[in-house]
Amino acid sequence: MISTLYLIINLVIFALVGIAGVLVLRSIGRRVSKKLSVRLIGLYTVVLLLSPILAGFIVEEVERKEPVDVPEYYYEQVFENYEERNLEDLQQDEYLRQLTVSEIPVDMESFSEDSPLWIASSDHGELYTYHLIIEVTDTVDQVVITQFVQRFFVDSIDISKQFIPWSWSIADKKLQAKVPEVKINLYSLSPTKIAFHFDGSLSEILQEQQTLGQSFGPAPREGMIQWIQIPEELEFYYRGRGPWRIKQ
Amino acid sequence: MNSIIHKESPMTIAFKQIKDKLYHNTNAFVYLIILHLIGYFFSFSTGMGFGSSGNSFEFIYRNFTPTTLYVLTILWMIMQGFTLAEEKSRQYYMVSNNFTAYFSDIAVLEIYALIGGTLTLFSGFLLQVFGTIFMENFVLHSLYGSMGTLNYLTLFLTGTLYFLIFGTAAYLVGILRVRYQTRFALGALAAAVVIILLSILSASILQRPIFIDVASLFRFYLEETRFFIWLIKVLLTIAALYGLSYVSIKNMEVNRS
Repeated sequence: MISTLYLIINLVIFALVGIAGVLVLRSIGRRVSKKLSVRLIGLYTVVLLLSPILAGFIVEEVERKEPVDVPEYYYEQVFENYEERNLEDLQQDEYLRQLTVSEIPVDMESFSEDSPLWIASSDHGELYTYHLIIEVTDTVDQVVITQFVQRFFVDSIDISKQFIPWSWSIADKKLQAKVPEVKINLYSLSPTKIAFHFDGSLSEILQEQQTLGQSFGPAPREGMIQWIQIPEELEFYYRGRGPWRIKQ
Repeated sequence: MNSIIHKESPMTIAFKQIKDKLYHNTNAFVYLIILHLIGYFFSFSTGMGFGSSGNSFEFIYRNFTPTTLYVLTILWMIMQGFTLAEEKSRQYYMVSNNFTAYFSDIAVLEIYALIGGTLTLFSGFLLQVFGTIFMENFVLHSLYGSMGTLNYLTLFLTGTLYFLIFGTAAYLVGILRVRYQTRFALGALAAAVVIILLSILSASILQRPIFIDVASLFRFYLEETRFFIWLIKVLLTIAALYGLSYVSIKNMEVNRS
């Protein structure tokens, strides 16, 4: 009974809005002279006909690559097997995207066993040690931090491109990161469904994406991997919360 | 039967009426432009968004389509169908009989549908341009990559024919309204009451609600992926609507009110 009432009320509202809209449109339309309306049509038609050319120049080429099917929480697998992985391995991993490599020069002499390099575990109270893998190696002579992010696709657009890398620095003998505020607003235009009217499978894909949306899996920020290479002779020290991954 | 006064065949008169109607209704295109502007606005603001946010992470994804523009063009076609039907009562140009009136109306509707189809076909490109200009992170959905010429043709053909269906349906309803006036209003009211009563009764007695399912009606056309069967369905629908509106206009008095 109530649902029927709702139906009637909705129909009445729709009808009223429709009638009001038509009345407003007509009152506007009547005031426009024939000459002006012909000009307006001409203008609009020209703009529309030019738009494919403009779009061809302005709009970036559509990515035609197939999205990579990244396993959910893939970064956790990396952390679990961190002993077996190495940097080259990660760089070639198709599930990860390398963001930046930052080299932070250190003055070796200013650090000793008594005053080692501290590695901070958090930024503004936010714990980030979960994302660190520290490799002690002789291949570098300064601190080299390679940042990765798990690739992350929405509608086959690679979102991981949009990520802002953390900014690492050494201050007061402390290696610390500033985790940037990331705010990504992504807008995508998809074609109308009826363009694929006679192409069942594609139309279904579109339908699915438009009705269900797409779940994010891991919050993408969690997918960060910070691979820190520290020269062998540098003394460092860590005290803080969170897991501690050192690859000797 | 040729007109005695003008010595012209009905077809010539019909063609002159088409020209006259297009000129008389030039403002129709202003409505279309206004509706399209509204459509552009809404397709940007109502894009479906979803996001996730953490402590310092916010991700908002919005997807929009030119579908709003299609819906508004359909609305425009309905408006034009009604307008053309209403103007039956003031046909003053040349010698008009029901055939010329009907023929020119139908032809004007077809022209409108073609224009609507063409404009909406291009509106997708205009949305791309607007998106690039006004939005920072604007990308095209990957499905644009799989759009070929055939898809654009589909877009144009399906759009035009669907617009025509809506326009002709509105024209038929308008003709019925102009012809039967009070009886039409009463009939529509009665039909609404009967439908609502039926749904209430079926829900309370049969425990199985029967609603007029508009969605299934749309699915009948929209989920048809075989081209020729779809074409037959659509053309038969249009033919049926044409036939019905011709039958209702056939014996109508032209200058009634």
